[in-house]
Amino acid sequence: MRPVTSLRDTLLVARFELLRNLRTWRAIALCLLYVACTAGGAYIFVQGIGAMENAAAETLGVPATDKPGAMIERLRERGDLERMLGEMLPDQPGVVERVLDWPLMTMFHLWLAFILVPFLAVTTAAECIAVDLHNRTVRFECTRTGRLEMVFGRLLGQALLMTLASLLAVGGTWVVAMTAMVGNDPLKLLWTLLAVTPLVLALTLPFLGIGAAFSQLTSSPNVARVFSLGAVIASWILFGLAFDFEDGSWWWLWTPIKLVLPQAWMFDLWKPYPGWLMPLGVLTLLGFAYTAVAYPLFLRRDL
Amino acid sequence: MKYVVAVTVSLLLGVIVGMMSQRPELRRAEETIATLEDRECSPRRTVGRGLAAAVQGQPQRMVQPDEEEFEEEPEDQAEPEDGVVIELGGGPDEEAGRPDDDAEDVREELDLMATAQDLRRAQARAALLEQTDLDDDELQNFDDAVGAMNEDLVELAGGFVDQLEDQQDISRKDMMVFAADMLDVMIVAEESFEDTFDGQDLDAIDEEAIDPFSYIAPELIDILGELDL
Repeated sequence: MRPVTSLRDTLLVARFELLRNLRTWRAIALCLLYVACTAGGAYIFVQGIGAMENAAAETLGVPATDKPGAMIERLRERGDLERMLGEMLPDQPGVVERVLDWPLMTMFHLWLAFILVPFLAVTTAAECIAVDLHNRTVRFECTRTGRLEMVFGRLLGQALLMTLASLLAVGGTWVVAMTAMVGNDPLKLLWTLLAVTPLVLALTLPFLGIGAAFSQLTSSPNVARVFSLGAVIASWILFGLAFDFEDGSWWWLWTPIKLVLPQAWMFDLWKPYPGWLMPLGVLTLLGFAYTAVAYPLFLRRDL
Repeated sequence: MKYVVAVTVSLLLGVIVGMMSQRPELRRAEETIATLEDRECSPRRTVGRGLAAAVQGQPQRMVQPDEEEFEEEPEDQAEPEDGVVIELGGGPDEEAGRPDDDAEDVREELDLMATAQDLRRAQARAALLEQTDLDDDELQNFDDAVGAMNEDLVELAGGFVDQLEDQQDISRKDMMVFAADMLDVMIVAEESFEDTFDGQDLDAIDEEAIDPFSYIAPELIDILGELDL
């Protein structure tokens, strides 16, 4: 197949994958779940700030408020949150200064997304091929296009679906911040939330790749999902071990392992421009690489 | 007889052992007394923070823990005719027994007070907005009144600090005049606030949310704090 035709087919499969997900409960479920998690997390965050602010207000002899945010925003403007943010963010130059310029809710949203996204991404991507392998409809699709185009088209379609879910999650967080909190500039909050969305999507890709890889290996969506979630948990454990042991005598083993783990690049996404460009590129490549790992087996599979 | 000897020996041993165990404690106590005697009795070291605390609406903090150090007047110092006179030293280097880290502590305390006041201001304004339905004009009037109050207070405090730098001492009367001038400014602000909230249900608003003390600018603390540095 010529490269141009191949790319066109990949895009067509991606479009079909997105539309199919939108037609069925999967897209709705994914979006609802993601929005509920991010908006719920944001609401709990606001309540936590409110509890702290009202305790401080009592000590300072000023009235408590129903909607928090005035004090924390003032502290952010004064630069007094620098030390606290330093503890919560990767220890890299320019990161704290960059985040201090954001509304606090944006920082929380990005952290929450970095924790949630791996699990959501593998859950949805694990179904992308396994379902069609299970009901054997994939063989008809593969008579119209190549298996490579089908696999990467599905991956791209899942990425588009996650983009949609991420944008809706931004909306949910923004609504919570604007209704349950004070002191947020609506435009700045929206802009910063949208500006960090590509970073979230970059971290999504390797986990979509893990899900797509397991989806090629088994015809059972549930088995693919369980293995994918297990792989995410294993990746976090490996990252923790690599983080601890990379400076020890086994560095030659842990350093390469760390380089292929998405979590190792996740922290670099916090860097100011252009620092986040390299991790963004590496994570995109990891997404394709993880998908491609299972492709040789899928290629030989009897559909 | 042997009982009498045994009791006497035991008593002596007890006294000796008791004295030995007390010696280090006595030595430490003597060292503490010597340190305190060497320390300069200068109420100026806390006057700035005391005034800053007072303008924050915490007049009780005017009586600092350090003030206990100054309760006893040195015997060779005559009582001035117009009451308490607070000697003003030069910079931190000129004051004997005033290590640099002491100044650092004072600076940290002042920073904390300024931050606390800034937070009070932000929280009071947030509570005010929550408890009232001020329109844009009324809010602007309120902000203008707060701005004017802080401008006057900063000017007063600046003048007071300059006066102290020139005179090198401060009498109780000077302090009272300064306090009265500050109160005048606050009263004018209070009246402006009342005009602003004319159409509002004042019972529904927390007292602290319309208290002029809640809206004092932290710059005032920085200015008054200079007296302690």
